[in-house]
Amino acid sequence: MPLDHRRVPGPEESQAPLLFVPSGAKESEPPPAGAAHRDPTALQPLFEFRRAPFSGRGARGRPSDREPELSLALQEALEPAVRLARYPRAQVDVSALLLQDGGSALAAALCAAGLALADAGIELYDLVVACALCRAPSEGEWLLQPSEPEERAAAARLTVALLPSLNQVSGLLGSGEGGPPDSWAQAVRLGLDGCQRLYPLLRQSLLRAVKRRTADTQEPSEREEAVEPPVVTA
Amino acid sequence: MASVVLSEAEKVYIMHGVQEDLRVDGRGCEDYRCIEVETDVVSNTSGSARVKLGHTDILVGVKAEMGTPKLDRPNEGYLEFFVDCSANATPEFEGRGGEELGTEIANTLYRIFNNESSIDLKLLCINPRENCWVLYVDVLLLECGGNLFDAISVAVKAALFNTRIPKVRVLEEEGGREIELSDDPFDCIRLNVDNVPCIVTLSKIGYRHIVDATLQEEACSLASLLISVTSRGTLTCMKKVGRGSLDPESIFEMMETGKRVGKLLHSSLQTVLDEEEKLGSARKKVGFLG
Amino acid sequence: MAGVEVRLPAARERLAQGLPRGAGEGGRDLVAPGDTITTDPGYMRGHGTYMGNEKLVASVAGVVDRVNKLVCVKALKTRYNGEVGDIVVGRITEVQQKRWKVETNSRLDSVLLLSSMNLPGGELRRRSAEDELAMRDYLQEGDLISAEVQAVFSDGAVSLHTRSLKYGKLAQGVLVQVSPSLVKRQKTHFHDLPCGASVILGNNGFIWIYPTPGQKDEEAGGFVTNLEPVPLPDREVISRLRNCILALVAQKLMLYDTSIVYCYEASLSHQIKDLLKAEVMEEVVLQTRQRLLELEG
Repeated sequence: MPLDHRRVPGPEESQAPLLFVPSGAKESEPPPAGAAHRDPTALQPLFEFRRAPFSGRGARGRPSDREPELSLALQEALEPAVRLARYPRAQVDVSALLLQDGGSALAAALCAAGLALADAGIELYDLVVACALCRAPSEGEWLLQPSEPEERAAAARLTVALLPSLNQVSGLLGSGEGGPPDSWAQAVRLGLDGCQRLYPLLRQSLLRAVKRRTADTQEPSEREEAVEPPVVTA
Repeated sequence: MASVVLSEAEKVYIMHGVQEDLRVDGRGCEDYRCIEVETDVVSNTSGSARVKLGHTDILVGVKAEMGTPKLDRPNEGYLEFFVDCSANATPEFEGRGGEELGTEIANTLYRIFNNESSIDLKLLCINPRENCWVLYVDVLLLECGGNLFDAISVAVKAALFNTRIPKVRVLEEEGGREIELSDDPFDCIRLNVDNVPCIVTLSKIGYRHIVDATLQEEACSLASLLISVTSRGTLTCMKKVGRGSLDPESIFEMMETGKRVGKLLHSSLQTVLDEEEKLGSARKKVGFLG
Repeated sequence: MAGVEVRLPAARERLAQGLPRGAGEGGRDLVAPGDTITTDPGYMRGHGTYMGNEKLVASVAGVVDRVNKLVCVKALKTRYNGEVGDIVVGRITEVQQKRWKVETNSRLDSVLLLSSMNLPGGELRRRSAEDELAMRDYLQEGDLISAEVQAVFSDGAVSLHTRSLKYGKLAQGVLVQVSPSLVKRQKTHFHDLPCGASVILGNNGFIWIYPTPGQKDEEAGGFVTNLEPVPLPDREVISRLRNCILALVAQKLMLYDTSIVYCYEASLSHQIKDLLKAEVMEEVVLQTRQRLLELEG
């Protein structure tokens, strides 16, 4: 068989290094508002949510219990905040370890992971603030940042994540006994309100950390460990 | 997940179409593709259903097996969900490729059934603390043509509707209890599926949202809201999926649309299921030869 | 305004054998793999056949096609077999050194060499290193192009060229993928249909439906894509055409300008979205088939 001289050997796979520029009509609005497309080479984040074996009440969990659903929730809530296109071909690992479940665990993990990303100097569009809510079984009132007993008894649970200064909801995960959409909408509003109230707190603590850091200049580490802080109540 | 690559211009075309309420296939923003439902397609199951939604093709089989109740719920049976992404759907699913998507779907199904009203689990109890029925719901993805979640939830509901669990009696005897199966094969328990929710996925494209997105439309959407609606219009689960974020206001609009479309979906589905039931043995089975 | 229709699946009825076949399909032989086509040694072996024991045997299921002494079997469902001069629509899958890889529904990836395309500006110049670096500015992964087959390599891989103003990058429109054997070979595969949209019927089964360009003085190769919204009436036509083509394909009718236009006209009494339903599709295609038969006389 004759050789094909016209075909030039090249790499078998290629990917666009350039950031996809959204269509002309959309260019004016802020990038994360929905139009920005991510190109495939951009940073591939790895999100992980684990529970320590002794974190929950009752039976001990298996040590390697990775929670695929919560890991995915973590990923989907944090990804919109990270300027992924700035990190082509890079990988960042975010792992959250739940030490003790005092209620609102996912929300706390989201806040912690968002802060950790910011602390690591990863470029972000905005901080991520999250709030948990639950609906008590009988009266149907939504409670903000429930404690573990409240959460256990609740009829429905919801976690809301917000990019506060862009006012974009980056994460939403909830389920439970059926309720009318209005009730859920009210919960989302309450949650967003809670996030807005929580935001200055997180911001302050981040700024404090930066201030402290400037005293003893230190390279931020590539891999960060997001450990759950004490549950913040708004 | 199975996805397609589109050029920038194609995406823009789809986006502008959604803005004008005329999608590429001529549907409006709130139109579903025609859903084909057939139950009782696999004879070795307690209940089965096949749902076709455009190119999306789902087969669900429910098998009832006897098990022991969970410790914290001694008076109830339970449901187990397994999702198998067949390599027939897309070569990406070969080997362990479909596992991630499978777990994601299964987790979502657990989530929407994780409440007391969806299905009466007490009915599945045979003998408190000792025996109960476990319903294994196996979802098989035969083809992906977009909007998997909605199609799967419809198929699960239809399969549960079709499920027949044999009646058993517990005989108290000295030296323990014995379980006796009814002699009459038609003597069986049916599940009440009135409160089984269906998922409605609303994909945000441009400034509007659409239901029942095709693969191409899914490629244009950065974020969608997945909500599960019961036939009475109550929400049992809501979840944001995708790597984008949503405007708070649009979430509320999407919830309203979802409720409206979901109710319609339930009523149409129930009509067809009843119609099929009424036909009984006179129904011509189509199965996979259609 | 929301529309949800749930129904029971209808068993597809087998088309009555007595029904007259579509244009040019009458009296063809259908063969299955292993069937002897002829024992006459005078015939030449073409695609889809093999020689066994002095006999010409089919290796695919399909229709026998005789051109003088050459016997081929064309399968209904097949990948695209490139032939020089074919017009194809393809999607860029990779950008490599001096070439793009293009998905054309062929068994192997097709290639488009940097040297076999007209670069913006139109003039025929040597491709410099700068051009090589800027390749992704011309065509990116995911972009659609129309092109002509320049050469077919011995392993069946296809090399494309876009050295004409007709070819190049495709802008806004809709792609429909069908089986390559359903696209009828014609003098031209670019059609401006009277209903107000244009189609490119790629020989590889990729069909591109797009709004008819206003003026024909496009930039060479058309690398500047127009991202202005397409007006609603044009969109309606394009969506209707898309559904019509899918209906024709569902009923296995050959695709060419007349069949598409007839089907479009037959569909006008239905709403665009209703054309997604099997029974409407069948009705529309039956009318089209009737008209095509009348045309043949």
